Amino acid sequence: MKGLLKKDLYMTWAYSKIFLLMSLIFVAVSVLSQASLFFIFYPLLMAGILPVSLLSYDERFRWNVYCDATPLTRRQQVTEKYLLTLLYSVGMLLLLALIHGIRLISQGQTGEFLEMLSFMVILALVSPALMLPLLFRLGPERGRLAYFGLFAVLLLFVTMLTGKSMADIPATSGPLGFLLATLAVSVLLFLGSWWLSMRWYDKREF
Amino acid sequence: MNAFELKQVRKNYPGFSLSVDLALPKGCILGLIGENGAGKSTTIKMLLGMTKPDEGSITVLEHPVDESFAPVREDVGVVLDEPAFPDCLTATQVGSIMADIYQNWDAAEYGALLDKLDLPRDKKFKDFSRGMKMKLSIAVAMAHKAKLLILDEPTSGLDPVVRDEVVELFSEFTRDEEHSVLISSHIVSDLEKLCDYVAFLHKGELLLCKEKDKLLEEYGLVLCTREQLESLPVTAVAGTQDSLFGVTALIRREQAPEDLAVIPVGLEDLFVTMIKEVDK
Repeated sequence: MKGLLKKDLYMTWAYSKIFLLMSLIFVAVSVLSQASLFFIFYPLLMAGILPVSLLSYDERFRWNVYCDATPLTRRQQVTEKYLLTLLYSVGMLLLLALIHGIRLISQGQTGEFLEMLSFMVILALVSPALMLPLLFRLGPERGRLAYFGLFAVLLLFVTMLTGKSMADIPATSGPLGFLLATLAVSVLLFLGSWWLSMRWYDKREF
Repeated sequence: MNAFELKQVRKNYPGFSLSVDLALPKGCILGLIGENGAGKSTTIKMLLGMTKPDEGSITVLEHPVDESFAPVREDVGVVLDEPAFPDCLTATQVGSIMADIYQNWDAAEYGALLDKLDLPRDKKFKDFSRGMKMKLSIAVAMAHKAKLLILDEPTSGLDPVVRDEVVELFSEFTRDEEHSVLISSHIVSDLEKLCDYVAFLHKGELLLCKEKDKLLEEYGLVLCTREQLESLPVTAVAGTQDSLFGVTALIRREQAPEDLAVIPVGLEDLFVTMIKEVDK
């Protein structure tokens, strides 16, 4: 698995350094432009999408087929992509949380920070957790389409179920409660996604 | 002892069915010959556990090819029909990655192979020619102390001089009697130089699997007229092709009349004549 991680780090540097650079610029802008959440959420989305892009490159170069001829199991191949997701997404989450945590808490806005952190956790973990199993099952092209469909349906479902917009939810549960609930659900979803990807990828034939 | 065995293996796809019963004794080289789409790559993928057969059983290096097969691939060097390294990597980076994938990776051997095959260490894979890409795949396959090499069209894209060097590398590999090679190719001349056994695969059916030397002793070519052909025993003729001067017949030497001039046959003519006969 160390070999796979090394390969993906080489590939990230070769193909995605511009996205890494853009993400860091967005992080910097998010500190200066405190009004817009876009500059906070965008780097998180980018970090979650990086492993997905690498999976697409693997298919393009037939590396995924080659891997099956090596001692690596399908489960190891899937696990490596989830570890990479954690590395990039949680890394970005920690960076953003540190910067904005210091800023908001020092201004006495702890509640706002916890709310923001809750949405950051959702973006960092839930988005890749939904996308990766579809990609492992259907391949990058069809998997991406299926993800966009699923994401729209889920958003609609959650909004209808709660009868509110997503941003209103923290007000009813308290920021800390919401953060803990978000964290628990996101981690469970991430673990479930990992398990499902392993099962689905085990069955896929090239 | 066999390096691998495929016992009554079948794989069905819509419009195509593959049926193979094949074994390779340890220490030998088996050449798998077949036209494009004959089932060579599918056979190789089943041997590696990349595709599951619908029927039959497969063992490689005495291990069944099942869910627990992955660690056995430590001892199998593989070259697939398409080189499959990411474009951005250099040979040095590929070596560094493979050192973390294969427990028995031999960095010194890999370096020696890169030198022998004249491969640059710091040029990106995307800037390699097809021949160089194939040579890098071969270097990786041979740098982790494999006992079995499974090579799918490894000489395609290589010029004749390099092909000869690569064929020599495979030949050296089997000097150790624990080492075996399965090589598929439609460049039959390479297999003729290299193989101990040959197997003919045609439209998913295994036509034959025999020792190459015995096969070439068993058959010969006869240039004759139609009348001469008709006078031969039916069982002696394995195939015919019309030629400018009459008929070229592939015959079993044992059953040929003594006064008939039988010339040696090459593997390519043998294969082409046989499959044409099957298609008739």
